[in-house]
Amino acid sequence: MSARDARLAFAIVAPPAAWTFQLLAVYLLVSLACAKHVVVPLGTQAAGAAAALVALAALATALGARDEGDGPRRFLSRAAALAAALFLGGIVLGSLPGVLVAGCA
Amino acid sequence: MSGAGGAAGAVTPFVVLTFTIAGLVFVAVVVALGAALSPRDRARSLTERGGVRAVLVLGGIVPAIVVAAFFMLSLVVTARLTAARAPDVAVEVVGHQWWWEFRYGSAATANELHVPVGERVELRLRSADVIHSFWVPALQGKTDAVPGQTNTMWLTAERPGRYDGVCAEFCGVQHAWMRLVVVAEPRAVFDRWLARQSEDRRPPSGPAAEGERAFLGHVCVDCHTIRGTAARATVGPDLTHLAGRSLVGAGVLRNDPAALRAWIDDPQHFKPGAFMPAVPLGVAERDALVTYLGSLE
Amino acid sequence: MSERPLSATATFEQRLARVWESAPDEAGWVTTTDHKRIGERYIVTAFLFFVLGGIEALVLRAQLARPEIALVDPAMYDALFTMHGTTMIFLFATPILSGFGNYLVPLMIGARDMAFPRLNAFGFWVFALSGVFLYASFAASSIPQNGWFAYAPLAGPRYSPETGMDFWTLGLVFLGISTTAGAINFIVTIAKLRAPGMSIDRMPLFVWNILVTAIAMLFAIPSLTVAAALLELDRVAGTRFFDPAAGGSPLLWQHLFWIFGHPDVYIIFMPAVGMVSSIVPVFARRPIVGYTALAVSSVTTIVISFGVWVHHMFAVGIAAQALGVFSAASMLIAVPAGVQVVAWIVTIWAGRPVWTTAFLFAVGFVVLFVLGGLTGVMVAAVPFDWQVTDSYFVVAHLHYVLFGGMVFPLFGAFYYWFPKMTGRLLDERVGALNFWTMFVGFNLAFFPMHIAGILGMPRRVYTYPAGAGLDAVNLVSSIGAFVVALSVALFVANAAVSLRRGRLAGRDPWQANTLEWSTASPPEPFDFARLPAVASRDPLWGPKVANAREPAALATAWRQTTATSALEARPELFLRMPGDSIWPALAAAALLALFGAILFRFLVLVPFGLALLFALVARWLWPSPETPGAHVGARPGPRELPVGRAPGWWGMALVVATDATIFALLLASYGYLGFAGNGPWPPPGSERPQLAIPLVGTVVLLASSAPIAWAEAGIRRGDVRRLAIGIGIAMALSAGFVVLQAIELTRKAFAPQTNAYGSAFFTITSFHGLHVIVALLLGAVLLVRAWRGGLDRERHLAVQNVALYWHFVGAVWIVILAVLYLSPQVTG
Repeated sequence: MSARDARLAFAIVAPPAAWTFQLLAVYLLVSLACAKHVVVPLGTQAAGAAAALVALAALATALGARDEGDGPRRFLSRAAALAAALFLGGIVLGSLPGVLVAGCA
Repeated sequence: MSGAGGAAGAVTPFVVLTFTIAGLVFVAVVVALGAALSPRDRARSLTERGGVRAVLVLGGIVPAIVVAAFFMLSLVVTARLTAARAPDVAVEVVGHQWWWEFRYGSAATANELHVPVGERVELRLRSADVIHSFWVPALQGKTDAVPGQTNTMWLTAERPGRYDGVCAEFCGVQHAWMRLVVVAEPRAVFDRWLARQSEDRRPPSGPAAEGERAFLGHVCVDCHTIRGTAARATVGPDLTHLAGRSLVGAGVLRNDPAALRAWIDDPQHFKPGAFMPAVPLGVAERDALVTYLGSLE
Repeated sequence: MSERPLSATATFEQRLARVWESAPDEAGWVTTTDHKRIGERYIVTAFLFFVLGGIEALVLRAQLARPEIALVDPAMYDALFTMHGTTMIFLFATPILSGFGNYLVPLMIGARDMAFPRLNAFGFWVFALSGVFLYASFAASSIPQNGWFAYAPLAGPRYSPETGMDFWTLGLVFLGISTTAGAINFIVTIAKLRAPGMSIDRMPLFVWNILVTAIAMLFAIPSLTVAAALLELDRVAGTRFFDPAAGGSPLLWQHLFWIFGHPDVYIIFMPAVGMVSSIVPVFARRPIVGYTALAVSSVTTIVISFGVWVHHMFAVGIAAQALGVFSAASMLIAVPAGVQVVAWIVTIWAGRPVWTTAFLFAVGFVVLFVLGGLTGVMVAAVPFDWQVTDSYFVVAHLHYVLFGGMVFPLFGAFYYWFPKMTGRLLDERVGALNFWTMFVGFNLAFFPMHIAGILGMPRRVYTYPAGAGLDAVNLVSSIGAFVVALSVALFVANAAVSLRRGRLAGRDPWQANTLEWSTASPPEPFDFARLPAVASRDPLWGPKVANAREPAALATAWRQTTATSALEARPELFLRMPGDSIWPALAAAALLALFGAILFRFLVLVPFGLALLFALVARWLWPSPETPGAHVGARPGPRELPVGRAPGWWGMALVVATDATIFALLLASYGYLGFAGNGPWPPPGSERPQLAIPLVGTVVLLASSAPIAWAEAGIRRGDVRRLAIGIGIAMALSAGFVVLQAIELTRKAFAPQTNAYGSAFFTITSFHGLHVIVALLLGAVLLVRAWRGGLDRERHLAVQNVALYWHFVGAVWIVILAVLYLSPQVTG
């Protein structure tokens, strides 16, 4: 796999992976806090921030590659940019409950 | 969702707003579709770039903004509904196939939840068998009663009255008749009711005493409790103050002598599959039993 | 392959037909692997189930037409709504879309068949027989009656001891085999069999949507399989997975079920969206607007659909903050959905719409789907959901999404593709009536249910009290249901008449854009005489489609199609496809016998059933004598073509992927049970696992991968002796592992029935042990093949596949060791 294809693969795979990570991490952290009284300070916020950074990096990578390579690769980088923007939005939405809804301290 | 409850009170404006937004979006889409479909002879001109931009802006960004705003609002409402506050009254609710048990300390009743008006009532939900779900549409959303765990919900009835409720989670063959009533009454009335519920049954006399003997002499005693007697089983509802309730069979019949007679004669006719069998009783014995049950105020 | 003699002057097409035709007799009917015939069978069979599920719905609506009536007794009502949901989801919606996919995908991508034709036939037989299996519950008078969601513990052995639930759990595991086989076939077909030049940015959107659907199936079905299998273990073997009295968890069922269940909504919806994306541009008379955005929408929707399962569980007692995250995920789906709707509308807006019945259904779909989507966003909001969940509001919502979102496109697809399949057009005037009765009937039936739900009517009730304000809405719903039935009857009549007397269609009655319309109607057995070479997204709207390069002598020597690279669709291999075969049908029948044995508790027969199944599958995969290349028919193409992995290897990789998902879910279940329990884990009485024997076993098992790799490298150079020695050593080591594990498991102080911990421990280790035994059997098959001279330098795909599986079984064990044996040392 060439470096360019590796970047493209990162741009495609990273945003959904980051979004999934945030979802599961928050679910686990909140459950730990509410059911087992194990509180990880700023855990959900950290998970959200890390996921957002990864998605942002992927978005930048995809946008940077949108005019590179042959037809299918250009298509994939444009598609990856759209998906990255969507998942980035999803990660932002997913970090709101930590702000607006009380957890179990 | 009439907004009679405090919780539903927080929800109602939210629900109205939700329907308003949804209605506007729906109308906008239908109008756009209508415009798109208007008869014409030639295709409209649209550049590749213009088309993509329209799709991403109208289909992606606009919905994203609307959804994000709606989502934040829903979180604010959620936070209000789940905010921890000390309750005024706590009731243990146990779901059974197919009736509701309500315990206020030592007092126990079934299918009729009394609450004081305007006060915050905490319900601690458990299940004796399968999953049930407690729902009084006019007062509050649902919370499930799951075996092996206790879930907590709160409700407040802002106005006195009777509110119908149901089991909302499919729980077997008589899920349909696992109904309940919430009776919201002024504090003084509620206190009197609760004091009465905490007492044992008043010893019966006359035909009612005969009825009690019939009750204790047949299989009734294997399932029901009547406090003050030897009947202490907990399979079926506590009948100590049955006569004070308005319904029997978790909502399937009203509680009057004729209905009670029919119910005892053949519960399976009204509630097929329920666990209460038809008890073989003589007519006189049955009538005495009905008199007795009618005396259990 | 027909044996009729062919004259010396036979044309190229006649020669092709001779290779591709199935025998015209009954044997050919059973053995055929023609994707078009299999597709039609899926469609017809699933439509029959649609009618059955519809009749069940009519009985339900009749019972609810008036309050407090007793048309059917409560138990029968429960059985009917259970079978209605189960039938519509599993036996109608998913398979009928698989039918269209089967029929259309090869035609749309310019291939002559699916990648694995025999697997395709097998998938159909398994689907049909599992449907028969589920409906045999009526004959046995023990119909499942716990809903299509079958919540534990209600569906467990204590509260539902009757056989009915066993029909349901076993039937769905059985059916899952078909769905998984179909998914693997679709993925490999779409990835590897596209016509030269059909790079992924030129794939028809229908094909995109079938692809993402198949990927979703591959990872979603395992969750249903695990859920149903654990429930059946509770029922048949006395395990305690869902028994709260023994550390089991009723909510584990809900997690597993909805991790499958929510993606399944999109498994049903996505192919239908693909149908709409096919129909809209053709009748708007212009290319679709926003192709890339539509493809991205489909992919992202499917990804997100795996992260929203908890929104079916908002009321079970999960902390509000966690619910919020799942609520966010659920609402996020509105964005790709919005993109799709606007793309269709803009396409229509910019085009010059032509009213046909197919287009009517597509437009009707848009209206209904927007309504269903809006209520979907509503129920994604936690406080709103608490109010309406498990009420008729949700019944309304889900029917707008599934009936509006899937059945309307499906009927559009009937009108659109019927001429391709039969050569004749459906009557368009009856079609318009068909549409309007369905549209009106549907809204009459389902719109009032929103109101019933808001008024407080719960779901799954066989009756409701009179005078609670529910009488009118229910009566209107019931009337609407019968109008829908009338509409379906109109369609059936239209199809029956048009089949004989409909207007002849010709190749392309709609002036459409995609490759299937360049074939005859109905297409020849070989689909394309000359495989096309594609240069645009809408090949039939551009310059005349060119022919791909293909050696004609090979194309008429055996069934052949071209494999291309996944991304750019550059030619890689000329594939020799397997011929018709009886073995897939027999293997499906063996599965039926196997599940029947479990159903009737003839458990001693289960090992024999498994052995028979293995033998039949091995026989089916065994290269036929005249096959010169056992490369699952793959033959290297002309020298200048770069040779990629054979489709067979991709198929195996996908089997491993879905199997790995099963293991992941089992291990997650183990972790969840530990987390949900209130005490220590492992629970008191179940000692912390001893490590000595398992660690030795680990070394032995992992060591067995080395000789396999050595053997594989050997056969690549044609060294059969090295192959045999390597496999022999690996088998000996694996057998050693099995013995060690047997000792380890028999020495346990607890049993699968002791508590949920024991259930999970034994289930996971035994399931893995079964995998090692399968690896041993596969090794034995390879040895026999090597001995018979069936493996050499050119033909060793089977070795690659077995090696892949072997390494996978070892890798999974490392995870199992870490979770089951090592983690309790730290936490226990």
